Amino acid sequence: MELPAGISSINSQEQKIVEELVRRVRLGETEALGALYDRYSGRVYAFLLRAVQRELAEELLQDVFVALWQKVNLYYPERGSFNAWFFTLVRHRLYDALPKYQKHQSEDLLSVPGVVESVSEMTGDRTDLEDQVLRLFRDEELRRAVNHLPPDQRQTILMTYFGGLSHRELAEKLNLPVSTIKGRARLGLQRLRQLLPEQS
Amino acid sequence: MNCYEVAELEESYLLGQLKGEEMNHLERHLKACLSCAKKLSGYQEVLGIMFSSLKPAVPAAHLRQAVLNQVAQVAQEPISLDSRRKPFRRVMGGIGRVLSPVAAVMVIGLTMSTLFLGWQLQEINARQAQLQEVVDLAASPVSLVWPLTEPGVPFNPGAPRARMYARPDSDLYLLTATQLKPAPQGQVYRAWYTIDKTVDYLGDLEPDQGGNAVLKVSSPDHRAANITACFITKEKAGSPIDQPSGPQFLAWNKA
Ligand SMILES: [Zn+2]
Repeated sequence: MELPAGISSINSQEQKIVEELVRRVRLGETEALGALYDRYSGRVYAFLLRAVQRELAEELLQDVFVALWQKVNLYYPERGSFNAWFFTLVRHRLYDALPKYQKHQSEDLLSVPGVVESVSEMTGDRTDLEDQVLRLFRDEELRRAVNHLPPDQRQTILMTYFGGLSHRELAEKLNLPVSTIKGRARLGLQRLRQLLPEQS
Repeated sequence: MNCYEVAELEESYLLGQLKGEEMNHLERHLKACLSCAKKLSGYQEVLGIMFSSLKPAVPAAHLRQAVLNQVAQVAQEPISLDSRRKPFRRVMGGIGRVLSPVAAVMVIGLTMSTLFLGWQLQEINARQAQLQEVVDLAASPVSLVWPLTEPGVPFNPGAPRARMYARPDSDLYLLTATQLKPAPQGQVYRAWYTIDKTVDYLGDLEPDQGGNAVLKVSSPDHRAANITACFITKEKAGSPIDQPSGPQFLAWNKA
């Protein structure tokens, strides 16, 4: 169930298997959901652990797969790949849960391990935190491509999409308008798309 | 709608959350603006690739079963006809078929439940109203759904199963079953539920040639939330309906 390393291995074969599992989940087959869980839970959990404590990560991991089950009919293959849809769903579930969690724990996001221990350094060119996030990716090509981004774009993508911060939160930390952060994210993603090898 | 507004909506669009006017405006823009159509898919795909490349962490083993137990209790949200408009994806390639209303209804049926798989096209119009009730019931956040399976048998995709739906604020009780064999000669499938320790008769199920059955019952009993069991038995045709005599063939029992 583990993909071999290398972006190019996310090939059409793997996509076909996933699409077939998704089709079966749409028919209400819990078994197929189990198979998707086997494929994706490790990556979802890794992503969640980066943003929140273990207890909440475990809770959210379940929440995400229950949401996948409930919302599978809202995935339209013609709008993008399953990975794109599912990861968007995962991030949204996380962001929806964070405010409740913080209220509950009366904790600031900054005190959640893994999130922003070193916000004060985030205005610099490069932070340990970014390096930590970057090490989450197993694909060398991808890490190299991210490293090629201009520092502000790299920071925005790593911290907002994988570091557990929303665009708004990063904007507040950096004292910049949200529109600036969103613009950086878009430019960075556009640039990454050019840097990454074509997908099959 | 301008390019900036489109960019703001891309995630909601991908998640299927856009409705009505917003959806119309967005799709009109995407058809007219090559740059947006191109970038939209590009951003999400890049993030999807990054996500795929994450090094996995191993979650506790019991979480898998916890997820499967939860999904057995919750209904899937149906496809909304409103957001199922013509797909745009002309830049990235892909299909551009327009769904006719009949085909669209069929798509809902197919994805709602395997129950509808066996239906022939011409039957779909006739059952459209019924289908809509299933859709409404399954879509409502206040709906209750009970999955009925063969007691003590591990999940098997080919086995008979059923679902009962009810809403505390409505009189409608709906039971759908699939992959049923015809009832043995002289017998019927009979559905029951238990509320406050009393067993109530819901109705008899008649599977069609495809093994599918739909039972719709109007009952003013609004205590659906108190249901502790629902099940199907095989009974002698025409026998009294005061209580079940046979063993539970398909069942859901409160843990
Ligand atoms: Zn545009």
